Order: sequence, then structure tokens, then C-alpha cells
Amino acid sequence: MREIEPEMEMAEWADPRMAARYRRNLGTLNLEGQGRLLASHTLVVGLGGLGGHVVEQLARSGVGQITGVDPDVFDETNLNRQLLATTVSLRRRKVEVAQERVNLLNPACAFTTIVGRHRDVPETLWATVDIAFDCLDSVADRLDLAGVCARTSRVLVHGAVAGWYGQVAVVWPRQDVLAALYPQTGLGWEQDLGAPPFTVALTASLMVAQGIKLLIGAPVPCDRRVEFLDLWEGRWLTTTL
Amino acid sequence: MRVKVKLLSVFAKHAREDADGLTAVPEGATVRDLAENLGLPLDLIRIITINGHQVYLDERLAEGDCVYLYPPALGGG
Repeated sequence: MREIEPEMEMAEWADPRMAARYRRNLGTLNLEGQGRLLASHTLVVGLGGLGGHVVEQLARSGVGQITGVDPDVFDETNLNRQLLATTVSLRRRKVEVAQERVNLLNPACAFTTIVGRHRDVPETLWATVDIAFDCLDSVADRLDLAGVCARTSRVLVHGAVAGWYGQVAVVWPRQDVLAALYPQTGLGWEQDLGAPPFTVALTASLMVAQGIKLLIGAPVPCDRRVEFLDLWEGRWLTTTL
Repeated sequence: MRVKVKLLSVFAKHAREDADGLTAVPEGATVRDLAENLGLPLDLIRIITINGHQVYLDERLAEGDCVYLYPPALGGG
């Protein structure tokens, strides 16, 4: 990518409001990277705790198109951690609330809603997706989404939380990282450790950082690595599966 | 011999510590032996560290080692 001073880049934006909107992205991103974000399409599957933060950050970063997929409505148990769950959004569809939020944040970001699951995403839409975010809460659904991404050669950014612990992985097509992460037997095991807002927000932020790097063409390792976050002891471990 | 065992996330309920917060294991025991003794599901162990260094199930334990065992996370928040 070109190395251009941010102040010089500003002059290249035709619309000064756009220049102001992304002014504080520049320096982190350059103009070419910002342009790549604006031209990109991300699929966010699951608009709960992880998905709400992921959508928020993608829209503020300047991703041009986001498709949000979720079958559910907000309820009171979402309020502790889900960015889009508020006292006025209860009982409303998550995709619709997300769309409104994105419209408020960044009118340059087109938000497409799919009330349903990733299997309901039309093939024509999949064809335009650059990367997908796995913000699901079921292992079976996660594995199925990874399978769809492998078949369609899409990179998947995976994130999951359990209490004080989170994990993030960039899943390159056909690397089968999620199959190595989750056991093939005993998928029904319970994990009742709660989902506190700080673990959710941190995990989502790490997912978005990885996704942004992918979208701007920055190097992201494809060595089957998984990042494990331990917020209880303040440790961050990287392993390859 | 005794080692310090840190069981993270869903593994925590398998902890079996003495009054000093340590876990007894036979001389020559491996991480696998420890995990089996504690009743941990081996297919859920994703990261193991001893004294901060990543190791695998067949690593031998030594007196005073600090062992961390991590399972994968499931939830979408």
C-alpha cells in the first residue's frame, strides 16, 4: 500500500464530510486501505453480543456493506452485554435494530438484513461477500458456517466467549480450524460461565482487527492459529491447532 | 510430587487441590496422567502450558510446576 501523509490524503477525498469521518482512521489505515474498506462487503452471522460490537466497529471503520444475519429478537437477558440491546429495542428484531444503528452511525455503510440463519443467505449475496464473521452461539451452527465458507472460499473470522475467557481465529478456507477447536463428540456439553460485557467487547474488537487487516490486504497468518484470551489472569495465548 | 494446576473455564470444576492449593501426582507423571486423574475430557484440552511455555499432553511434570489447561470457548456472547 502507498505510504502517504494523512494530511495529504485528506485533499484527495471529494467530499469533505467523508474526510472528517475517517480522519482518525488515517495513520492507522492509509487512503488505499480506507478505500478498500469502503469497497468491501462483510457478512456478520449472529447479532448478539459479539455481532453487535462487530457491526458497530465495522460501520465506524467504514466498511461499505454489511449483511447482518440473525433470526431473533432482543430480550432482557441480552441487556448486560449486547450493544444493540436497550430498553427500547426489546422484542424487536436484531437485524432491524442493527440496520437502524448503522444508518445512524454511517450512511455510507449499506446494511442488508437477513432474518434467519446463514443458510438463508442467497448465493447471489454470498458471491459478493469478502469475509464472514462467526458470531454464533451454537457449535453445530459454527461448524456448518465454516463448511459453507470453505465451499465458497471465504475467510471466516471466528470468535467465542466463556466467562472471563475468549478466543479468536482467522479460519482460512479448507483449514478446518473449527473442527480442530471443537470436539467431534460431545457437542452438547454445557458451558454456563456467563457472558460478561468486557469479555464480549474485547473478543469482538480482536475479531474486527483481524477482519480489517484481511480487508485491507495486510498480512494475516494462515497457520491455523487461535488466540486465547484469559481476562481473569490477564494472559493472551496463541496456539496453532 | 505436587504441582500447581490452573484449570480454566469449564475445567475449573475438576480442581482437586490440597490445603496448599497444590495437586499431588505420581513421580514421572505426564500432563495426560494429570488430566485423566482429574477427570478432564482430553478431547477438550486445547492449550497446555507449564511454567508459561506451551507443551502437549505427553510432557512430563516436575515438582512445583505450574500447569495451565484451557478448553475452547463456545458462546457468541
